[in-house]
Amino acid sequence: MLWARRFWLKLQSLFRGKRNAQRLDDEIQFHLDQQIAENLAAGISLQAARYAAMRTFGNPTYLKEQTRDTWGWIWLEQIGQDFRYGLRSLRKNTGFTAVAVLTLALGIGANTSIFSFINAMVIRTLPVERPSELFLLGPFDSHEGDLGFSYALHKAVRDENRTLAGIFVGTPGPMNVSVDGQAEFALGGGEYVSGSYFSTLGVGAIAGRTFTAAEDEVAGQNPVAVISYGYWRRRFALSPSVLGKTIYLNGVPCTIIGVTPPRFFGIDVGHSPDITVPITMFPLLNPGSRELSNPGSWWLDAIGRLKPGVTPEQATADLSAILEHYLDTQGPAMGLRSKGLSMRLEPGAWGISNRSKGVRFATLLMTLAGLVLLIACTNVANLLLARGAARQKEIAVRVAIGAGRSRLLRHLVTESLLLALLGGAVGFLFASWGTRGLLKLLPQEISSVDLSPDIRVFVFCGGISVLAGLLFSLMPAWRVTSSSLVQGLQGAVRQDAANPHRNRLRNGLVVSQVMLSMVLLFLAGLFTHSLQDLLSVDLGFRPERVLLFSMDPTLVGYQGPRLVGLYESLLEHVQAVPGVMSVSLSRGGLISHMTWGDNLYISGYAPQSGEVPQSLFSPVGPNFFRTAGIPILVGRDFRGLDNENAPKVAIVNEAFARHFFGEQDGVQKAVGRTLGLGVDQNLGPFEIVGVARDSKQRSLSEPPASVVYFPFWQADLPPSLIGHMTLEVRTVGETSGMTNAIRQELLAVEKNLPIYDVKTLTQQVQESAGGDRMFAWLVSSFGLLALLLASVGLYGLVAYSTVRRTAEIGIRMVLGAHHGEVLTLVIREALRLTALGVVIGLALALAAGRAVSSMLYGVSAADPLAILGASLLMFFAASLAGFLPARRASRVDPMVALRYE
Amino acid sequence: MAKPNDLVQGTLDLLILKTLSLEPKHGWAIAKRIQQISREVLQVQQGSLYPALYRLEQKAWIKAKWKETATGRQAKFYSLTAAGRAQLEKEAENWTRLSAASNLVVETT
Repeated sequence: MLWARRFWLKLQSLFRGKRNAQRLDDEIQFHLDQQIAENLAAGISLQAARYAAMRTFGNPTYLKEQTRDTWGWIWLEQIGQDFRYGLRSLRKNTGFTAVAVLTLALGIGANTSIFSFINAMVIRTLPVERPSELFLLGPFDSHEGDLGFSYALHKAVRDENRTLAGIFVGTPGPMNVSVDGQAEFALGGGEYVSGSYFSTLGVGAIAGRTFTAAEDEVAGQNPVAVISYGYWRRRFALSPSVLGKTIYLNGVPCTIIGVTPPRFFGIDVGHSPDITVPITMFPLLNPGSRELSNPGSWWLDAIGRLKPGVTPEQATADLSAILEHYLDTQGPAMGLRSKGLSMRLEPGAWGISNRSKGVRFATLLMTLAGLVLLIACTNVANLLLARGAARQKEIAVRVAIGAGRSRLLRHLVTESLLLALLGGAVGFLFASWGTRGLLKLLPQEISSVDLSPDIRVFVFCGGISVLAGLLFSLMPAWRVTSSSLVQGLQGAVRQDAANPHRNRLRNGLVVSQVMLSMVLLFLAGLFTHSLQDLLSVDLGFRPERVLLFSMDPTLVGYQGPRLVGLYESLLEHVQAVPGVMSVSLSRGGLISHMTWGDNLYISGYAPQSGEVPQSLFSPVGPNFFRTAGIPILVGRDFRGLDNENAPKVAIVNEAFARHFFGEQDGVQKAVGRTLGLGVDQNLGPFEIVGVARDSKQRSLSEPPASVVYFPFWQADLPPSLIGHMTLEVRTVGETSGMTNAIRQELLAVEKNLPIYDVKTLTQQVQESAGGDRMFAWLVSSFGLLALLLASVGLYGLVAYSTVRRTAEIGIRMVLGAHHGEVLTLVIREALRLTALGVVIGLALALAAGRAVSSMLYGVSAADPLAILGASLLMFFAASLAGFLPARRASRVDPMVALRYE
Repeated sequence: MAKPNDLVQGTLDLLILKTLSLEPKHGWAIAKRIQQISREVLQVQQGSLYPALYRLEQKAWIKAKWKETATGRQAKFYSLTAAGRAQLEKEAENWTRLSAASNLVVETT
């Protein structure tokens, strides 16, 4: 208790400084008066009594100071003092303060926005209980890499393991939702999970309940759903009546039983499913699917929570034994080798997202942002040096009246820290705008991410502010306090201009700024060029003048033959719209994420040991190849005679033909072969009637992938696969203005037809490069920011040295120098420094280019265009930064210049 | 710098605590009292009392209150706290031990 009381007393004295001082004065006065009174009583004169009292007392000022030192925390008070002085001096130099704070804020803001993004994507663990206990589980095949879980394996592990406190499996899946008879598309998609999903994660419901083990019991008997908080707010306005409500998921009625907490977004960072349903419902929501009951479908993500005290090694051993037993009993039936498969555990605290790729991007972005901050710091250091020179006199006076060097240093550093913290505060504001901008740049594969700053972002922002403050202040402060006293008092200002040592330091700072900016500008050029190359890659189809309409008639009840009939009628009507050249529809095929891949069986093809033949499948409408502009190389296109009753046909692409029928003559040999699609070849057989040219399927940078196209009306596909289709319309003229006519035509056929996404094919192609675009954008903004900061630094240096050389310039002009000569004199200095920075910078930039070469598409790491662009931009900015002060110098009146100072 | 009757800090603390153990006093009275009791041997420089008083107050061994004196003036009266009383006992004991030991050393040589 004593320490608490002492702490309280100290705290009090900290805030009652003035009052306490007054009281001490009163007390001492009382003491003296008492003594004087006693002395008077002894019969001495008043004057003598006073003198005697003072003598016995001692030096009151000294004693008061001693007393005051016992109060509170003296060091804290001194810091407070330094802060007050610092604030005062910053307020007096508003121009300097504004430039420095703004410069720092730009640097700190850029870093903080990038950090918020990285924090959300790769640092923050899942918002669940004790995430460090979670591990991703999966059989590992030395041949095929990581596999997922099968549902049966999940059951085996769940029932037989001795090391897990819980295990669940899950898989995302597109979900069509109908609420109150109104069809919509769940933005975040849906997630199918096993009953132990929520209990293993330790996530409860904020309304209603989550799933229980009972939801795992019987397949197809658990028509329930848990919705996300975001969906609850967006769609149901947080209404409590949502519990017990029936919604239709892929046409199946399901009851909403609970809502997850606001911060919970599932197990995949960047994706947050709106609706979660028991995985036992998967076959019902995806008619025709066989995965759930097939013990050889490795299609599920699995996460387990280790029991307390269990090491990952123990768990690996335990689960591997179960896997081995599973393969021994089920393997023969699945045609699987039981050898070569082992169980692998990886930390699951961050969910199932691919972190290693994220970490690589994060490191690069953070490094680049760090360079920007470094340039900003250099700027401020240079400003401080200039200001320090102007403050020589003030500093000298302080030293003369007894301030020690350490105290002075502390004072200057405090002032800088204050500057840095101000910069940090403004930077935090900038960062909140920056992250908002970042959200707009996010590529479409990241559907949702929580970028709101948390305590980590706050600490980061404060941390780099302080770090930056120390970085830019220590050197100038050391320099300023080290000059001689006499020189300072005499006003070292003029001598300083002649001091080459000091100038060399400032020049060095500017050169390093130019150098760092060159690195950033070069990388910006590199990534921009790479993006351009990516966007101009040969697509394999012709994207211009094509409109896309995504739709899903299953939401309004179309199934089976009625669905096929509707599609045929839609195609017929749109074809009749004036200005339409051709029309088709497909699922996937033209750079989209709606692709579907599966196993297949090929007649006459013997898989190598361990190989499971796989390909992408694309159900398409008639005229697909004509509409998309994909040439048929061999064989024929689909035709009207390929109807429901005719033999099933398929067209494969070049990559498929080469891969399965031979690199050399595969294209010729493909026609006439037959295929079976899917697990157990439940679709088909199809006869290959043609080979189409390769085209980009999912992304621009992918190598050619094997694809099988087949007519959607022949295959008798499950609605989940041909429910969501995209209508492609190639127009004769410009697409603009056609959109409405076509939409009206579609609605004329079915007035409730759900149409989601209307865009041009060109747009779709551009969006697919979203990640690369975001990266190129970010690096370019960093480059421009660096250029701006370096130019400001250069401008400041030239302006400062020109002012210093005013007298010299005056003399030159009196002696007959022209304006032009003065102009060149000043600009030459700026360009000399720039040239030095550019040369050193290029060497660094080339090294940096090599380091990022794996992230480039089609551009060499020493791209000459990027080198040229960066250098030209740098020289242009430098000339501008030098020209402004040079012009001012050349216009000065020689007489004024001579009298200067 | 050291004068013959300069008091070591610890000793001054002890004297103040001891003086205050009887009744609350203001600064001047404490100084007077120390002088009287020590029969004018200990000449405390009166002012040096104050840093010591404030230090003891910060340590929560003594507490202070502004009160009226007999002559009607406001003065700051110091009194011992419970913690101060305990501290006094400890220091007094230390002192006795130390001085006894010193005596022993001085007398035997």
